[in-house]
Amino acid sequence: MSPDRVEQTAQDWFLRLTAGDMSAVELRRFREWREANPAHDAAFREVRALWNDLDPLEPAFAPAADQVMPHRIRPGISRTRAVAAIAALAACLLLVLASLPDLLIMIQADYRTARGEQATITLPDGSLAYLNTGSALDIRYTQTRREVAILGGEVWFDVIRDRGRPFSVLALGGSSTAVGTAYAVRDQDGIATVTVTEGTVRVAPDATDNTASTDHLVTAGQRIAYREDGSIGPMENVDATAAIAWRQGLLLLRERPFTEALEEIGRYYPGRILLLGDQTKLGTVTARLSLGQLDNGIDALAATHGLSVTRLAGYLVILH
Amino acid sequence: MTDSGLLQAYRDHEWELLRFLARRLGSPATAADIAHDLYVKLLGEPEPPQIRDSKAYLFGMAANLATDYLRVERRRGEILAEIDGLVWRRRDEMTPERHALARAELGFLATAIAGLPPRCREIFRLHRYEGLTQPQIADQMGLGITTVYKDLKLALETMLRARRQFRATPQEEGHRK
Repeated sequence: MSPDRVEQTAQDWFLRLTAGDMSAVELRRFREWREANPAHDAAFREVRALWNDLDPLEPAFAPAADQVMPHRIRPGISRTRAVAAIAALAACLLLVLASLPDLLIMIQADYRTARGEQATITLPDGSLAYLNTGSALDIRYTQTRREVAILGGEVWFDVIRDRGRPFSVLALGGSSTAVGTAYAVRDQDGIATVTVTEGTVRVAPDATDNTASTDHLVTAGQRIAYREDGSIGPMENVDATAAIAWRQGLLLLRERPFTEALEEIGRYYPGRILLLGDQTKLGTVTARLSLGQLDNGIDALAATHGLSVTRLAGYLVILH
Repeated sequence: MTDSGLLQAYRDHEWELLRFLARRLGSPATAADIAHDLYVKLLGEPEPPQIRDSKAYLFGMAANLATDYLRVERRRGEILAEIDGLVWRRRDEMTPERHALARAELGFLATAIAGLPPRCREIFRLHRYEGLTQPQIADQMGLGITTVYKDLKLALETMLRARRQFRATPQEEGHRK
Protein backbone atom coordinates (compact mmCIF):
# COMPACT_ATOMS: atom_id res chain seq x y z
CA MET A 1 0.00 0.00 0.00
CA SER A 2 1.23 3.50 -0.78
CA PRO A 3 1.77 5.78 2.25
CA ASP A 4 -1.28 7.86 1.29
CA ARG A 5 -3.37 4.73 0.97
CA VAL A 6 -2.24 3.60 4.44
CA GLU A 7 -3.25 6.97 5.90
CA GLN A 8 -6.67 6.78 4.28
CA THR A 9 -7.20 3.28 5.61
CA ALA A 10 -6.08 4.33 9.10
CA GLN A 11 -8.65 7.15 9.06
CA ASP A 12 -11.36 4.78 7.85
CA TRP A 13 -10.57 2.31 10.60
CA PHE A 14 -10.56 5.02 13.21
CA LEU A 15 -13.98 6.27 12.17
CA ARG A 16 -15.28 2.71 12.19
CA LEU A 17 -14.04 2.37 15.79
CA THR A 18 -15.78 5.57 16.88
CA ALA A 19 -18.93 4.82 14.85
CA GLY A 20 -20.66 3.06 17.73
CA ASP A 21 -21.78 -0.07 15.91
CA MET A 22 -18.62 -2.04 15.21
CA SER A 23 -18.94 -5.81 15.29
CA ALA A 24 -16.55 -8.33 16.85
CA VAL A 25 -15.53 -9.57 13.40
CA GLU A 26 -14.70 -6.05 12.22
CA LEU A 27 -12.71 -5.42 15.38
CA ARG A 28 -10.63 -8.54 14.73
CA ARG A 29 -10.01 -7.44 11.15
CA PHE A 30 -8.83 -4.08 12.46
CA ARG A 31 -6.38 -5.73 14.89
CA GLU A 32 -5.01 -7.86 12.04
CA TRP A 33 -4.55 -4.80 9.80
CA ARG A 34 -2.83 -2.84 12.54
CA GLU A 35 -0.41 -5.65 13.41
CA ALA A 36 0.37 -6.48 9.76
CA ASN A 37 2.77 -3.57 9.29
CA PRO A 38 4.47 -0.99 11.57
CA ALA A 39 3.45 1.72 9.09
CA HIS A 40 -0.19 0.81 9.71
CA ASP A 41 0.28 1.15 13.45
CA ALA A 42 2.08 4.49 13.05
CA ALA A 43 -0.65 5.89 10.80
CA PHE A 44 -3.31 4.79 13.27
CA ARG A 45 -1.44 6.37 16.18
CA GLU A 46 -1.25 9.66 14.32
CA VAL A 47 -5.04 9.78 13.89
CA ARG A 48 -5.56 8.73 17.48
CA ALA A 49 -3.17 11.42 18.79
CA LEU A 50 -5.00 14.13 16.86
CA TRP A 51 -8.41 12.86 18.05
CA ASN A 52 -7.24 12.99 21.67
CA ASP A 53 -5.70 16.45 21.30
CA LEU A 54 -8.91 18.04 20.04
CA ASP A 55 -10.43 19.05 23.40
CA PRO A 56 -9.41 22.73 23.22
CA LEU A 57 -10.78 23.05 19.67
CA GLU A 58 -14.44 22.55 20.55
CA PRO A 59 -15.32 26.26 20.06
CA ALA A 60 -14.02 26.05 16.48
CA PHE A 61 -16.81 23.59 15.68
CA ALA A 62 -19.65 25.63 17.14
CA PRO A 63 -22.00 27.06 14.48
CA ALA A 64 -21.58 30.78 13.80
CA ALA A 65 -24.54 32.92 14.89
CA ASP A 66 -25.42 34.07 11.38
CA GLN A 67 -25.25 30.62 9.87
CA VAL A 68 -28.32 28.48 9.39
CA MET A 69 -28.65 25.04 7.91
CA PRO A 70 -29.44 25.01 4.22
CA HIS A 71 -33.11 24.48 3.59
CA ARG A 72 -35.94 25.26 1.22
CA ILE A 73 -38.27 28.16 1.83
CA ARG A 74 -41.33 28.43 -0.32
CA PRO A 75 -43.63 31.44 0.19
CA GLY A 76 -46.55 29.10 -0.45
CA ILE A 77 -50.23 29.81 -0.75
CA SER A 78 -51.50 30.48 2.73
CA ARG A 79 -54.31 28.04 3.26
CA THR A 80 -54.48 28.72 6.94
CA ARG A 81 -55.57 32.05 8.37
CA ALA A 82 -53.07 34.46 9.86
CA VAL A 83 -51.94 33.92 13.41
CA ALA A 84 -51.80 36.44 16.18
CA ALA A 85 -48.18 36.80 17.12
CA ILE A 86 -47.59 35.51 20.59
CA ALA A 87 -44.20 35.87 22.20
CA ALA A 88 -43.00 32.38 22.78
CA LEU A 89 -40.28 30.30 24.28
CA ALA A 90 -39.52 26.80 23.16
CA ALA A 91 -41.65 23.66 23.42
CA CYS A 92 -42.13 20.15 22.13
CA LEU A 93 -45.53 19.22 20.82
CA LEU A 94 -47.28 16.69 18.71
CA LEU A 95 -50.02 17.76 16.35
CA VAL A 96 -52.16 15.25 14.59
CA LEU A 97 -54.62 16.06 11.82
CA ALA A 98 -57.23 13.41 11.35
CA SER A 99 -58.47 14.24 7.88
CA LEU A 100 -56.59 13.09 4.84
CA PRO A 101 -55.95 16.16 2.71
CA ASP A 102 -56.24 15.81 -1.01
CA LEU A 103 -53.34 14.30 -2.87
CA LEU A 104 -52.45 17.54 -4.66
CA ILE A 105 -51.86 19.37 -1.40
CA MET A 106 -49.73 16.51 -0.13
CA ILE A 107 -47.60 16.53 -3.26
CA GLN A 108 -47.07 20.29 -3.13
CA ALA A 109 -45.94 20.20 0.50
CA ASP A 110 -42.35 21.07 1.37
CA TYR A 111 -41.92 17.76 3.14
CA ARG A 112 -44.06 14.65 3.17
CA THR A 113 -43.95 10.98 4.10
CA ALA A 114 -45.70 8.08 2.39
CA ARG A 115 -47.61 5.48 4.32
CA GLY A 116 -45.27 3.41 6.46
CA GLU A 117 -42.54 6.05 6.10
CA GLN A 118 -41.13 8.42 8.72
CA ALA A 119 -38.72 11.34 8.42
CA THR A 120 -36.75 13.72 10.59
CA ILE A 121 -36.41 17.29 9.32
CA THR A 122 -34.13 19.98 10.64
CA LEU A 123 -36.03 23.25 10.37
CA PRO A 124 -34.19 26.46 9.35
CA ASP A 125 -33.66 27.51 12.99
CA GLY A 126 -32.40 24.07 14.05
CA SER A 127 -35.69 22.96 15.59
CA LEU A 128 -36.63 19.41 14.68
CA ALA A 129 -39.79 18.03 13.11
CA TYR A 130 -40.44 14.28 13.09
CA LEU A 131 -43.00 13.32 10.47
CA ASN A 132 -44.98 10.20 11.16
CA THR A 133 -46.52 8.01 8.46
CA GLY A 134 -48.60 9.76 5.77
CA SER A 135 -47.85 13.34 6.84
CA ALA A 136 -47.19 16.61 5.02
CA LEU A 137 -45.57 19.78 6.33
CA ASP A 138 -45.06 23.27 4.93
CA ILE A 139 -42.37 25.62 6.23
CA ARG A 140 -43.25 29.32 6.37
CA TYR A 141 -40.44 31.05 8.22
CA THR A 142 -40.09 34.83 8.09
CA GLN A 143 -37.82 37.36 9.80
CA THR A 144 -40.25 37.78 12.68
CA ARG A 145 -41.92 34.42 13.09
CA ARG A 146 -41.40 30.73 12.65
CA GLU A 147 -44.50 29.10 11.24
CA VAL A 148 -45.06 25.62 9.96
CA ALA A 149 -48.34 24.23 8.62
CA ILE A 150 -49.45 20.63 8.93
CA LEU A 151 -51.40 19.63 5.83
CA GLY A 152 -52.10 16.15 7.12
CA GLY A 153 -50.88 13.41 9.39
CA GLU A 154 -48.86 13.65 12.56
CA VAL A 155 -45.75 15.65 13.38
CA TRP A 156 -43.75 15.94 16.59
CA PHE A 157 -41.77 19.14 17.12
CA ASP A 158 -38.75 19.78 19.28
CA VAL A 159 -38.55 23.55 19.31
CA ILE A 160 -35.49 25.66 19.89
CA ARG A 161 -35.97 28.62 22.18
CA ASP A 162 -36.08 32.01 20.45
CA ARG A 163 -38.02 34.73 22.25
CA GLY A 164 -37.81 37.09 19.31
CA ARG A 165 -39.43 34.69 16.86
CA PRO A 166 -42.43 32.76 18.10
CA PHE A 167 -42.83 29.19 16.84
CA SER A 168 -46.35 28.27 15.74
CA VAL A 169 -47.90 25.21 14.18
CA LEU A 170 -50.90 25.95 11.95
CA ALA A 171 -53.55 23.33 11.34
CA LEU A 172 -57.22 23.60 10.37
CA GLY A 173 -57.30 27.35 10.90
CA GLY A 174 -55.97 27.11 14.42
CA SER A 175 -52.54 27.59 15.83
CA SER A 176 -50.40 26.06 18.52
CA THR A 177 -47.67 28.33 19.76
CA ALA A 178 -44.78 27.14 21.87
CA VAL A 179 -44.59 28.91 25.20
CA GLY A 180 -42.50 26.66 27.15
CA THR A 181 -40.24 22.80 24.67
CA ALA A 182 -41.84 19.52 22.80
CA TYR A 183 -45.16 19.01 21.20
CA ALA A 184 -46.91 17.03 18.53
CA VAL A 185 -49.87 17.74 16.34
CA ARG A 186 -52.18 15.32 14.60
CA ASP A 187 -54.99 15.92 12.10
CA GLN A 188 -57.71 13.31 11.71
CA ASP A 189 -61.27 13.58 10.36
CA GLY A 190 -61.24 17.35 10.56
CA ILE A 191 -59.92 17.28 14.11
CA ALA A 192 -56.52 18.57 15.13
CA THR A 193 -55.07 17.07 18.29
CA VAL A 194 -52.21 18.74 20.14
CA THR A 195 -50.19 16.68 22.62
CA VAL A 196 -47.51 18.39 24.68
CA THR A 197 -44.57 16.32 25.90
CA GLU A 198 -42.44 19.14 27.28
CA GLY A 199 -43.04 22.76 28.18
CA THR A 200 -46.22 24.71 27.50
CA VAL A 201 -48.14 25.39 24.29
CA ARG A 202 -50.83 27.98 23.67
CA VAL A 203 -53.56 26.53 21.47
CA ALA A 204 -55.84 28.95 19.63
CA PRO A 205 -58.60 27.07 17.73
CA ASP A 206 -59.32 30.17 15.67
CA ALA A 207 -56.10 31.89 14.77
CA THR A 208 -57.93 35.02 13.58
CA ASP A 209 -59.47 35.64 16.97
CA ASN A 210 -57.15 38.13 18.64
CA THR A 211 -59.07 38.33 21.88
CA ALA A 212 -57.42 35.16 23.09
CA SER A 213 -60.59 34.31 24.98
CA THR A 214 -60.67 30.86 23.39
CA ASP A 215 -56.98 30.19 23.89
CA HIS A 216 -55.95 27.23 25.99
CA LEU A 217 -52.63 26.69 27.69
CA VAL A 218 -51.60 23.05 27.38
CA THR A 219 -48.73 21.77 29.49
CA ALA A 220 -46.57 18.63 29.39
CA GLY A 221 -48.60 15.41 29.62
CA GLN A 222 -51.78 17.07 28.36
CA ARG A 223 -53.71 16.88 25.14
CA ILE A 224 -56.44 18.97 23.56
CA ALA A 225 -58.37 18.64 20.31
CA TYR A 226 -60.12 21.27 18.20
CA ARG A 227 -62.19 21.39 15.01
CA GLU A 228 -62.03 23.59 11.97
CA ASP A 229 -65.14 25.50 13.16
CA GLY A 230 -63.19 26.72 16.19
CA SER A 231 -64.79 24.44 18.77
CA ILE A 232 -62.34 23.00 21.22
CA GLY A 233 -62.56 19.83 23.28
CA PRO A 234 -61.79 19.25 26.94
CA MET A 235 -58.24 19.03 28.23
CA GLU A 236 -57.12 15.43 28.70
CA ASN A 237 -54.18 13.91 30.51
CA VAL A 238 -52.23 11.52 28.30
CA ASP A 239 -49.42 9.03 28.43
CA ALA A 240 -46.93 11.08 26.43
CA THR A 241 -44.65 8.05 25.98
CA ALA A 242 -47.38 6.14 24.15
CA ALA A 243 -48.34 9.17 22.07
CA ILE A 244 -44.87 9.53 20.57
CA ALA A 245 -43.82 5.85 20.70
CA TRP A 246 -43.78 5.93 16.89
CA ARG A 247 -40.59 7.97 17.09
CA GLN A 248 -38.95 4.82 18.52
CA GLY A 249 -40.49 2.69 15.78
CA LEU A 250 -43.16 1.29 18.09
CA LEU A 251 -46.92 1.22 18.08
CA LEU A 252 -48.44 0.95 21.54
CA LEU A 253 -52.08 -0.12 21.86
CA ARG A 254 -53.79 -0.10 25.24
CA GLU A 255 -57.21 -1.70 25.60
CA ARG A 256 -58.35 -0.52 22.20
CA PRO A 257 -61.35 -2.14 20.48
CA PHE A 258 -60.11 -4.61 17.88
CA THR A 259 -61.38 -2.66 14.84
CA GLU A 260 -59.82 0.55 16.16
CA ALA A 261 -56.52 -1.24 16.70
CA LEU A 262 -56.64 -2.44 13.09
CA GLU A 263 -57.29 1.09 11.87
CA GLU A 264 -54.29 2.33 13.83
CA ILE A 265 -52.10 -0.41 12.33
CA GLY A 266 -53.52 0.46 8.90
CA ARG A 267 -52.03 3.97 9.21
CA TYR A 268 -48.55 2.45 9.01
CA TYR A 269 -49.21 -0.58 6.88
CA PRO A 270 -48.46 -0.13 3.17
CA GLY A 271 -51.09 -2.70 2.18
CA ARG A 272 -54.80 -2.94 2.95
CA ILE A 273 -56.18 -4.86 5.89
CA LEU A 274 -59.65 -6.38 5.68
CA LEU A 275 -61.58 -7.87 8.57
CA LEU A 276 -64.30 -10.34 7.67
CA GLY A 277 -67.06 -11.82 9.83
CA ASP A 278 -68.57 -10.78 13.13
CA GLN A 279 -66.56 -7.92 14.58
CA THR A 280 -68.54 -7.45 17.78
CA LYS A 281 -67.10 -10.34 19.78
CA LEU A 282 -63.45 -9.52 19.28
CA GLY A 283 -62.82 -7.68 22.53
CA THR A 284 -59.96 -5.25 23.11
CA VAL A 285 -56.31 -5.21 22.18
CA THR A 286 -53.28 -4.40 24.28
CA ALA A 287 -50.07 -4.77 22.31
CA ARG A 288 -46.66 -3.38 21.61
CA LEU A 289 -45.87 -3.67 17.91
CA SER A 290 -42.69 -2.95 16.06
CA LEU A 291 -43.43 -0.71 13.06
CA GLY A 292 -40.66 -2.43 11.13
CA GLN A 293 -42.34 -5.82 11.50
CA LEU A 294 -46.04 -5.10 11.26
CA ASP A 295 -46.74 -8.39 9.51
CA ASN A 296 -45.58 -10.28 12.62
CA GLY A 297 -47.74 -7.97 14.71
CA ILE A 298 -50.81 -8.62 12.57
CA ASP A 299 -50.19 -12.38 12.80
CA ALA A 300 -49.83 -12.25 16.58
CA LEU A 301 -52.93 -10.11 16.93
CA ALA A 302 -54.95 -12.44 14.73
CA ALA A 303 -53.70 -15.50 16.60
CA THR A 304 -54.64 -14.12 20.00
CA HIS A 305 -58.14 -13.39 18.73
CA GLY A 306 -58.69 -16.73 17.06
CA LEU A 307 -58.50 -15.34 13.53
CA SER A 308 -56.76 -16.71 10.47
CA VAL A 309 -54.64 -14.55 8.17
CA THR A 310 -54.68 -14.76 4.40
CA ARG A 311 -52.33 -12.63 2.32
CA LEU A 312 -53.02 -11.85 -1.32
CA ALA A 313 -50.66 -10.35 -3.87
CA GLY A 314 -48.38 -9.06 -1.12
CA TYR A 315 -50.76 -6.17 -0.58
CA LEU A 316 -54.10 -7.35 0.73
CA VAL A 317 -54.32 -8.89 4.21
CA ILE A 318 -57.57 -10.63 5.11
CA LEU A 319 -58.43 -11.55 8.71
CA HIS A 320 -61.22 -14.06 9.13
CA MET B 1 -58.13 -22.69 14.84
CA THR B 2 -55.90 -25.48 16.04
CA ASP B 3 -53.10 -24.19 18.17
CA SER B 4 -49.86 -25.90 18.97
CA GLY B 5 -49.43 -27.10 22.53
CA LEU B 6 -46.63 -24.58 23.04
CA LEU B 7 -48.74 -21.61 22.01
CA GLN B 8 -51.44 -22.81 24.36
CA ALA B 9 -48.87 -23.22 27.11
CA TYR B 10 -47.63 -19.69 26.42
CA ARG B 11 -51.12 -18.27 26.79
CA ASP B 12 -51.82 -20.27 29.93
CA HIS B 13 -48.59 -19.30 31.66
CA GLU B 14 -47.70 -15.90 30.18
CA TRP B 15 -47.70 -14.07 33.49
CA GLU B 16 -45.54 -16.68 35.17
CA LEU B 17 -43.23 -16.67 32.16
CA LEU B 18 -42.80 -12.89 32.29
CA ARG B 19 -41.90 -13.06 35.98
CA PHE B 20 -39.50 -15.93 35.31
CA LEU B 21 -37.74 -13.90 32.60
CA ALA B 22 -37.75 -10.66 34.61
CA ARG B 23 -35.96 -12.44 37.46
CA ARG B 24 -33.30 -13.80 35.12
CA LEU B 25 -32.76 -10.60 33.18
CA GLY B 26 -33.28 -8.14 36.01
CA SER B 27 -35.58 -6.04 33.87
CA PRO B 28 -39.33 -6.39 33.27
CA ALA B 29 -39.03 -4.40 30.02
CA THR B 30 -36.36 -6.73 28.59
CA ALA B 31 -38.42 -9.68 29.83
CA ALA B 32 -41.41 -8.42 27.84
CA ASP B 33 -39.22 -8.08 24.75
CA ILE B 34 -37.86 -11.60 25.08
CA ALA B 35 -41.34 -13.01 25.75
CA HIS B 36 -42.56 -11.25 22.63
CA ASP B 37 -39.68 -12.74 20.62
CA LEU B 38 -40.54 -16.15 21.99
CA TYR B 39 -44.16 -15.74 21.02
CA VAL B 40 -43.29 -14.69 17.49
CA LYS B 41 -40.92 -17.65 17.30
CA LEU B 42 -43.66 -20.03 18.38
CA LEU B 43 -45.99 -18.60 15.73
CA GLY B 44 -43.45 -18.92 12.99
CA GLU B 45 -41.90 -22.29 13.66
CA PRO B 46 -43.45 -25.73 13.41
CA GLU B 47 -43.77 -27.47 16.73
CA PRO B 48 -41.11 -30.10 17.38
CA PRO B 49 -42.73 -33.51 17.77
CA GLN B 50 -42.75 -35.52 20.97
CA ILE B 51 -43.00 -32.82 23.59
CA ARG B 52 -44.21 -34.42 26.76
CA ASP B 53 -44.36 -31.38 29.00
CA SER B 54 -45.23 -28.26 26.99
CA LYS B 55 -44.81 -25.92 29.93
CA ALA B 56 -41.34 -27.18 30.85
CA TYR B 57 -40.29 -27.07 27.19
CA LEU B 58 -41.62 -23.52 26.84
CA PHE B 59 -39.75 -22.31 29.92
CA GLY B 60 -36.64 -24.03 28.62
CA MET B 61 -36.93 -22.08 25.35
CA ALA B 62 -37.42 -18.86 27.31
CA ALA B 63 -34.35 -19.57 29.44
CA ASN B 64 -32.26 -20.18 26.31
CA LEU B 65 -33.39 -16.91 24.75
CA ALA B 66 -32.55 -15.09 27.99
CA THR B 67 -29.08 -16.67 28.11
CA ASP B 68 -28.42 -15.77 24.46
CA TYR B 69 -29.48 -12.22 25.18
CA LEU B 70 -27.16 -11.91 28.19
CA ARG B 71 -24.29 -13.44 26.23
CA VAL B 72 -24.70 -10.93 23.41
CA GLU B 73 -24.93 -8.09 25.93
CA ARG B 74 -21.76 -9.19 27.70
CA ARG B 75 -19.90 -9.62 24.40
CA ARG B 76 -21.12 -6.19 23.33
CA GLY B 77 -19.77 -4.74 26.59
CA GLU B 78 -16.37 -6.33 25.97
CA ILE B 79 -16.21 -4.96 22.42
CA LEU B 80 -17.14 -1.46 23.59
CA ALA B 81 -14.49 -1.59 26.32
CA GLU B 82 -11.80 -2.65 23.84
CA ILE B 83 -12.81 0.06 21.36
CA ASP B 84 -12.76 2.64 24.13
CA GLY B 85 -9.15 1.70 24.90
CA LEU B 86 -8.18 1.89 21.23
CA VAL B 87 -9.73 5.30 20.59
CA TRP B 88 -9.03 7.21 23.79
CA ARG B 89 -5.67 7.88 25.36
CA ARG B 90 -5.36 6.71 28.93
CA ARG B 91 -4.40 9.18 31.63
CA ASP B 92 -0.99 7.61 32.19
CA GLU B 93 -0.20 8.03 28.49
CA MET B 94 -0.32 11.81 28.94
CA THR B 95 3.38 12.52 28.79
CA PRO B 96 4.24 16.23 29.10
CA GLU B 97 5.58 16.74 25.57
CA ARG B 98 2.37 15.58 23.95
CA HIS B 99 0.11 16.89 26.65
CA ALA B 100 -1.40 19.59 24.53
CA LEU B 101 -1.01 21.22 21.18
CA ALA B 102 0.92 24.48 21.12
CA ARG B 103 -1.19 27.61 20.89
CA ALA B 104 0.07 28.47 17.42
CA GLU B 105 -0.81 25.00 16.21
CA LEU B 106 -4.29 25.24 17.72
CA GLY B 107 -4.84 28.52 15.89
CA PHE B 108 -3.67 26.96 12.65
CA LEU B 109 -6.07 24.06 13.09
CA ALA B 110 -8.94 26.36 14.06
CA THR B 111 -8.50 28.24 10.78
CA ALA B 112 -8.63 24.97 8.86
CA ILE B 113 -11.77 23.95 10.75
CA ALA B 114 -13.44 27.30 10.01
CA GLY B 115 -13.07 26.51 6.32
CA LEU B 116 -15.17 23.36 6.62
CA PRO B 117 -18.85 23.42 5.58
CA PRO B 118 -21.24 24.12 8.50
CA ARG B 119 -22.89 20.71 8.28
CA CYS B 120 -19.53 18.96 8.39
CA ARG B 121 -18.50 20.95 11.47
CA GLU B 122 -21.79 20.20 13.20
CA ILE B 123 -21.54 16.48 12.52
CA PHE B 124 -17.98 16.35 13.82
CA ARG B 125 -18.98 18.36 16.90
CA LEU B 126 -21.82 15.95 17.71
CA HIS B 127 -19.51 12.97 17.24
CA ARG B 128 -16.35 14.09 19.02
CA TYR B 129 -17.71 16.43 21.70
CA GLU B 130 -21.29 15.31 22.32
CA GLY B 131 -20.43 11.61 22.02
CA LEU B 132 -23.24 10.75 19.60
CA THR B 133 -22.71 7.60 17.54
CA GLN B 134 -22.75 7.88 13.76
CA PRO B 135 -26.20 6.24 13.44
CA GLN B 136 -27.55 8.62 16.09
CA ILE B 137 -26.26 11.64 14.18
CA ALA B 138 -27.75 10.32 10.93
CA ASP B 139 -31.06 9.87 12.70
CA GLN B 140 -31.03 13.22 14.43
CA MET B 141 -30.07 15.22 11.35
CA GLY B 142 -32.18 13.23 8.93
CA LEU B 143 -29.14 12.26 6.85
CA GLY B 144 -27.86 9.01 5.43
CA ILE B 145 -25.17 7.17 7.36
CA THR B 146 -22.77 7.54 4.40
CA THR B 147 -23.18 11.33 4.40
CA VAL B 148 -22.36 11.45 8.09
CA TYR B 149 -19.32 9.27 7.52
CA LYS B 150 -18.04 11.35 4.59
CA ASP B 151 -18.35 14.58 6.58
CA LEU B 152 -16.46 13.07 9.50
CA LYS B 153 -13.75 11.84 7.17
CA LEU B 154 -13.47 15.27 5.56
CA ALA B 155 -13.05 16.92 8.97
CA LEU B 156 -10.49 14.37 10.15
CA GLU B 157 -8.48 14.50 6.94
CA THR B 158 -8.51 18.31 6.87
CA MET B 159 -7.16 18.50 10.40
CA LEU B 160 -4.53 15.82 9.86
CA ARG B 161 -3.28 17.60 6.76
CA ALA B 162 -3.27 20.98 8.51
CA ARG B 163 -1.30 19.61 11.42
CA ARG B 164 1.25 18.00 9.17
CA GLN B 165 1.60 21.22 7.18
CA PHE B 166 2.05 23.20 10.37
CA ARG B 167 4.72 20.87 11.68
CA ALA B 168 6.59 20.92 8.38
CA THR B 169 6.81 24.75 8.42
CA PRO B 170 9.44 26.37 10.65
CA GLN B 171 7.71 28.63 13.19
CA GLU B 172 8.93 32.17 13.71
CA GLU B 173 7.59 32.23 17.23
CA GLY B 174 9.61 29.17 18.05
CA HIS B 175 8.27 25.84 19.19
CA ARG B 176 6.25 25.82 22.30
CA LYS B 177 6.35 22.53 23.91
